[in-house]
Amino acid sequence: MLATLALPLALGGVGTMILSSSLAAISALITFLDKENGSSWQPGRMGLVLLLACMLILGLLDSGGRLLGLPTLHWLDLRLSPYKGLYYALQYPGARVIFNRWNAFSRIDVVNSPRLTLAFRQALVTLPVASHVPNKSFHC
Amino acid sequence: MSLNTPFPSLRPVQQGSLTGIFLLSAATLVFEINLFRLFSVAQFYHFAFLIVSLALLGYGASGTFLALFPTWGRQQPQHLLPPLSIASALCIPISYLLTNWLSFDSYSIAIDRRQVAILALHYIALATPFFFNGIAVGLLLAVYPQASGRIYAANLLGFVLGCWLPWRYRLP
Repeated sequence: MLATLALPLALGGVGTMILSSSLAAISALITFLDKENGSSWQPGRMGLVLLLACMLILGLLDSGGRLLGLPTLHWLDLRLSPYKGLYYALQYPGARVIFNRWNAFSRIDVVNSPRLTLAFRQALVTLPVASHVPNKSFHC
Repeated sequence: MSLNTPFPSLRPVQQGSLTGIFLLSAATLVFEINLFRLFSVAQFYHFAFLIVSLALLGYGASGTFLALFPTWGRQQPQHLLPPLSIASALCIPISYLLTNWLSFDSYSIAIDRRQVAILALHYIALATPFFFNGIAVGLLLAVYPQASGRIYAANLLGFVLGCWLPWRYRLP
């Protein structure tokens, strides 16, 4: 419990999801080990410990990678709607995210690209690089 | 949540059960607030309001379930707390992965009927952690009505922790 309170700010959306799942798993472990529950079922205890270990490993790999600037688990990454401004911005040649930080209610991404001047969709349409943007990006 | 149970227990509610409810409630609120952020980033900000209805759906469904099955789990509710917590722990990442990989496209819902099914699937998947939390709290309230104050206290303190944890991840 105290460890979760002391977690660094590096936990993003995925890390917080893993944290919430881990809290539920710890709750299961505590109620399972409660003597009054009479739950001395060994495989159940082992399963819970394995589940917690998996959550810990996932959390460490994702949050640790984010903290150290290493690649995170891509299959866990949040998929953006193709209508979002960030999705458009990343269509530019050479565009890459240079800063990414979650806050209490959202996320800030800073994108750098040699061709990026404006992040608005209408600007994207009028620029010569619009041909690189998939057709579905122009749905309204 | 039905309080008219045929099995009110005269035994005091166990400390382990209260701790479990506290942590499970915290996990559920962390999940709920995190969904606000995930939806506002992945979709649009107005999708964040969908989460309130999701939570209400899950808690409402749990109350309906307990009312429909008034004898289910009432004999030894403390034995059901571990599986309910495990179910919640598993449903949280599974529902996230499902909604992440099977994205809802709000712009094509008028022309693509499949999106209606995807939206319904999102609702069902994301409401399950709230459903299991509601079942756990409702069962304890039904079986230990004399300890309802302590059970509510554990539940609400867990919610407070669940609200506070995501708040910690603000920008410095």
